[in-house]
Amino acid sequence: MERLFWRAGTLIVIGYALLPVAWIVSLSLKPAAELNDQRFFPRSLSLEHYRAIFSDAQFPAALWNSIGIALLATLLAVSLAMFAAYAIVRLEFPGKRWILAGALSIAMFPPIAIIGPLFNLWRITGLFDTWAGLIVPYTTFTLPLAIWTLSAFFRDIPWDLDRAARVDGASGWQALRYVIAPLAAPGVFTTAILVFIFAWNDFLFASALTSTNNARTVPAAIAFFTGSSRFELPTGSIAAASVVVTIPVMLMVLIFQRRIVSGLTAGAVKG
Amino acid sequence: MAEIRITALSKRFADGTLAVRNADFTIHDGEFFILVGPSGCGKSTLLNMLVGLEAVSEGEIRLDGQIINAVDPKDRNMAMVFQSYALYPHMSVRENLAFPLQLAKLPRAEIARRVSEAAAILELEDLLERKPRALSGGQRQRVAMGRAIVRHPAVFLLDEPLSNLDARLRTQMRSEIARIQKRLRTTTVYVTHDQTEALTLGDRVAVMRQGAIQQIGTPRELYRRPRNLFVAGFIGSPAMNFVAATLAGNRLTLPMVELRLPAEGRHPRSAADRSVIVGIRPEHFGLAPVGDAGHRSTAKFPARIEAVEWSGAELYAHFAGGQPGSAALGSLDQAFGLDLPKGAGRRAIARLGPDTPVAAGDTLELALDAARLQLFDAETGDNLLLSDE
Repeated sequence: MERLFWRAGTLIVIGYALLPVAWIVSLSLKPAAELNDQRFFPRSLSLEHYRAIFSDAQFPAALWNSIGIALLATLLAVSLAMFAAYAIVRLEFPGKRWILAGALSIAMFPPIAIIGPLFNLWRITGLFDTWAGLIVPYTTFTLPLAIWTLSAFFRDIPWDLDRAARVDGASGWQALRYVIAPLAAPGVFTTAILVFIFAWNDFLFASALTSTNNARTVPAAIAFFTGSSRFELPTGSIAAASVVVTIPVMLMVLIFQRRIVSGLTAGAVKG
Repeated sequence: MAEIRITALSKRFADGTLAVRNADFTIHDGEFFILVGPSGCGKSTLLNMLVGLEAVSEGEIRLDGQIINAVDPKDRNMAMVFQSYALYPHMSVRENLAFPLQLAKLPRAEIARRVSEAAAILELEDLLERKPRALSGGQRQRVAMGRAIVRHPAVFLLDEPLSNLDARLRTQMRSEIARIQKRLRTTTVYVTHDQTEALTLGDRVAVMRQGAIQQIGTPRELYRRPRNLFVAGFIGSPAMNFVAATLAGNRLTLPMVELRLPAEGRHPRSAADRSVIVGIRPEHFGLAPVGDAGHRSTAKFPARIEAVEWSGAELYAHFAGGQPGSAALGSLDQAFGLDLPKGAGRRAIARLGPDTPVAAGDTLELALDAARLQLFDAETGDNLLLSDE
């Protein structure tokens, strides 16, 4: 009975979450003429919208920008956060609490409040419509999250292992490489995915701080899609583009799912 | 083969606390040496300095004559078993055992040979492919031991290795550790807060308190000739009974009885009344022989039994010793952190034969042999019987 309840509950939640996605997929596969036929399942399948978005120069450029900017922002944020979290967990220094509190307050800061000043600032400094112009705010806004999740993960690593490895004959670097890094990896991957998804999905900064294909990312680019004539809505293209940008994130989560398994460290120390 | 010589060793932490003060002793080659003391006494800090995980503040550590103060832990050829076992969770038992050997860049065949040798000694052969999380507490403990012995290190260091095991397993592993140490004859330093482990395992034992070493000796020496009140109270279970008493000449007045100290031995004399603390092991109370005056230095007294603990092989009788606890004992208790039970100095425990017919509420005639008492100075807590040593 209880199992039945859980299964039904799971199905309802999954259905609720996936219905809009399924609707978008369905829309993207309908031929242009049938877009307004009010059917959930397309009558005939066509890839014309996919062909359309890739034949336009705008979308492939935006996709490339999205991938590059999101990856670089992730790399930057996670590596900085790793150092910060390590220091917060392992070292005693004055102002430790303030760093965590400060990081949290930045995360609470509404991004919309700084968009205006940032727009002017970026135009003066020449960061407007460049990759760096997006990487910097993405890194800034994801660092608090990254520092918090990484310190939570690092705190769970049994640091006795580091000492054990040193006594077992490992240099400091070898202890990190063979013992600590494999244990920290799940936390780092989890954090990286969270940061990547933030950067990948961001619309606010991308639409305000870019103007051309130089740095415009997919969420912003989609907003600038036009129909093939001015009497036609770009519904099909938007749906196709949305599907295309959803796929990398889903793939990434699926691939790294195994690495994110918690409890990898179970059994290291007593309990 | 290794001898560790520790000279004037101190550890001061950044916040100014002195964790180890002026330790000075030698651990002989092949010896099973125990550091014992209550938690926070600095025994683990001392061990960490030996292995190099903690920097030395003052003094020096010599391994076979070489000063090793600044040698990196990886180059000290010491193996350590941690209280938490510190097994590498992402490696199988085999990989855990092989890890130190791989770091030492031993040839593969040699690694395989040593791993199977260690696995045989510790009966781990069937578990080699398992991950630590699939092992029981006792098995993890053995893997941790195995990782220490595969290297054939000069010194074993064990930091409370048994404290995470349940009582039964602890006894079993205790004898296993003793067996392995006897077999390998490797110099071993063992840290514990459990005086039973210290007495049963150690060739020699160092009792520590608040960073200072109180006494070093064989288990028998510590038990029979404790240097001060702290060692006397810490070693032995149930703990030694302490009662305040007055010494005048060779007459010792205890709350429950008055007796004469024997003329032989090192017993102190006092012209004026002198207040002392008398230490009596529970087993040194005996049932008074019926109708006989007994030995000259033996005194009899009636004891009102308040509680009886019978554990099959022995029987502990709690009885009231007479007057309320003295102020001197109270202040010594605090000064030494003895953590005496409430009513110490007033209540005492006697260990009697398990067949003694006694129940709570009875009054029993007990005997006390003055020759087996320990006498402590009421101010310093030093053992007066050893005072001229």
